[in-house]
Amino acid sequence: MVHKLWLFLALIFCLSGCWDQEEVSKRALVLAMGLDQAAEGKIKVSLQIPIVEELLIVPSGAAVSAKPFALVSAEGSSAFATVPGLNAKTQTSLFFGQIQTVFINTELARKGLTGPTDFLRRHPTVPPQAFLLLTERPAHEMLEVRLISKRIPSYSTVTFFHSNNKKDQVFPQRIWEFNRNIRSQTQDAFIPLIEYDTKEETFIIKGLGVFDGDRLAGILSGEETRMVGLLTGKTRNAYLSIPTERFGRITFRKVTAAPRTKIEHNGHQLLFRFHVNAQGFLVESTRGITRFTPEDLEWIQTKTALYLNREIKKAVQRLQALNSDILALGEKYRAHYPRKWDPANWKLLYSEAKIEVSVKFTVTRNGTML
Amino acid sequence: MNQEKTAIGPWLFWSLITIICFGFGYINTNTYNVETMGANGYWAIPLAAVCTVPGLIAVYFLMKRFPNHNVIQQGTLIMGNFFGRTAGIIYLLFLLVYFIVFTTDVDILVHSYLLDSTPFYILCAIDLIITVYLSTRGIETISRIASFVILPLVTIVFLLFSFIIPEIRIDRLMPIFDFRFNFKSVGGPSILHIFYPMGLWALITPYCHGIHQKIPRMTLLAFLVLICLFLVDSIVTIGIYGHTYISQLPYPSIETFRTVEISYIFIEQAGLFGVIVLLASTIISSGFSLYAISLGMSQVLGLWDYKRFVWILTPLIFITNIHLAHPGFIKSLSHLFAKHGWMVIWGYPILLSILAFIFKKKGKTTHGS
Repeated sequence: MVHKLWLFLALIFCLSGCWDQEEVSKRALVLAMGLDQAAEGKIKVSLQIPIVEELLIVPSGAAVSAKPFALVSAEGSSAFATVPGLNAKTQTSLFFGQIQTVFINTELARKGLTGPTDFLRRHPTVPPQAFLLLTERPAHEMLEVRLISKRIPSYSTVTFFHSNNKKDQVFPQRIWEFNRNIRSQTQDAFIPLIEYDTKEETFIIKGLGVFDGDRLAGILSGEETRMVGLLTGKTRNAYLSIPTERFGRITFRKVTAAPRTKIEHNGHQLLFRFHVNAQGFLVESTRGITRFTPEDLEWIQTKTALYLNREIKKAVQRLQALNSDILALGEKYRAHYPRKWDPANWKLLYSEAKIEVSVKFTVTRNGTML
Repeated sequence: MNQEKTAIGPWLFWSLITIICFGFGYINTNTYNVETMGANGYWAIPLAAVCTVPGLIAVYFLMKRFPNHNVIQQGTLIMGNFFGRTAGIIYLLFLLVYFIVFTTDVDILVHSYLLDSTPFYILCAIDLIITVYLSTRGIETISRIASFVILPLVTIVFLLFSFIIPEIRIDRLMPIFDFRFNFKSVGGPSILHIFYPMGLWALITPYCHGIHQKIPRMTLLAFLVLICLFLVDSIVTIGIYGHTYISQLPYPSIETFRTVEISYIFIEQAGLFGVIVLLASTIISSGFSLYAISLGMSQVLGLWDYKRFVWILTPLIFITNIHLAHPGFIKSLSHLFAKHGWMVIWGYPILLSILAFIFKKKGKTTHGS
């Protein structure tokens, strides 16, 4: 009798999944999302939903649609307030658990992203590891572009960020990192800026959008982004090309850096000391020079170090001018000067701080030539 | 009276106290730690362990003096029938309310993160059915399940945290020795809460009659494992989120797990494994807590046995779970218990041990009386 009672009660356990279960075929899987500023202060949310039948290989050879995904958009007074409108346009239930990428238009980003991105951190099914991308085009346009390499555009961004050879001027920002950074007083956020080449039908990473608080403060160029990557140690496979009088243009690959940052406080002003130990593989000399002597390599290394020194300093000064602390120097200052740390005056200190950069560059390989 | 004539071995004892501390502790640990000690919140773990030692020594002392009685029975022997029973009832009521708050918090976690369409009362019912079933099986079954789960749990938790280590920023953990304690709001003694469940051992001391000599070693081993688990949890969570952002998260450890990403393997959202493992430890903790509370109730009231009390308490717990189901309210109650719970959980055994020492009270040493 007791066992039958337990069996009956166990049925409740088995039935518990009934409310939350949903067949995959009855779900509209959202792979990418776009956020745009709409008229009258509204927000436009666009969703990229794959059409599964168009993605499957059909043995009979029936013609496949050129666009194997659907795009639905809706406007609302806030980002998540658009969901009823989006739901009304889909026959199946919207499922956000497979979002790979979120495109955000720069116009919206300049107004502040605390509100538009709040649901991304509150909704339990939105993957916190999804990537964020900035775009100067309307985000909904970026969701329906045609790519030569992938039929679903959002997948290309995922493979792009997961590729080890792309860690040159592309540094991903995931939802959980972004939400932490825009609410942090010790660090600012950044989002890669993506553009679309209509002629070559491909995405281009143009630079890095840097934030002051939750507002887009400015865009770093590709070169500035590369310098920031060297300063943060995020760079894994950078490319560097510098002109020299003796050897023509010298290009390096697999450039990596081990940065060290120190902050000194002399009472009323901060001094940021950056020391960067960088290294790379020499892969090109446009004059075809071979048989580099140790003196030649020393000369190249010194020249490259000077170049990096100059460019890194310019990049940091640019960040100061934009009042964007993506290098998390605030965190370092708080860690080393906890009694002096005051979030209210950090940005003022940051923008007026002096910068000292020292770079040591080492050519570790010459390639397959002497 | 359906008194168990069993005993648990050292491995079962160790598994039990490790799992129940982890099950109770992981939900709110980081919140309390950073509220109290800021970026140094990880130091709260060893500090809490040190502050727990006096209470554990008191329980051990009482166990040696009264080997056949648990803390409820010891209370009546030391303070007399009336005061002993009264104190015992207060102690058990506190544990019961703490248990209800904890289970409601876990049910809200499941409802928020996993099964948001399932009615909340169904989740409470399922949780309670499993807890009740486990608690009616007795201490030996509960401890055997704990010993079965402990190794996979520890392995998975450490593995998952190791995947997130690259995201840690050392600056967020610094300065390392800047000890500033915040006693306002949720700060202060709330950091001690992760080791409160060890106090439940006081209710099962008669079942440890064969392992008295090994208990200090096993307790130390449990401390080591728990300190490692919670330290890693704390260091990783503070290292990736920073201490100011953690206070905005209802379940910081769960959020840390959710950030785990192992690309190009089917477990892209590996954090789900962590959540499942943590929920398993929670169920065992709940089962043991309900068993211990029911056992105590049957002893203090001198009625029936613990199994009947499990069934008596079940509807009360269920109704209270449903009506306490507001996240903000539950968090406030959790904070209250975490901040002041040490007074009851450790204060009562310490008081009893002092009184036993002063009045030279001792129990019979033969087992089975």
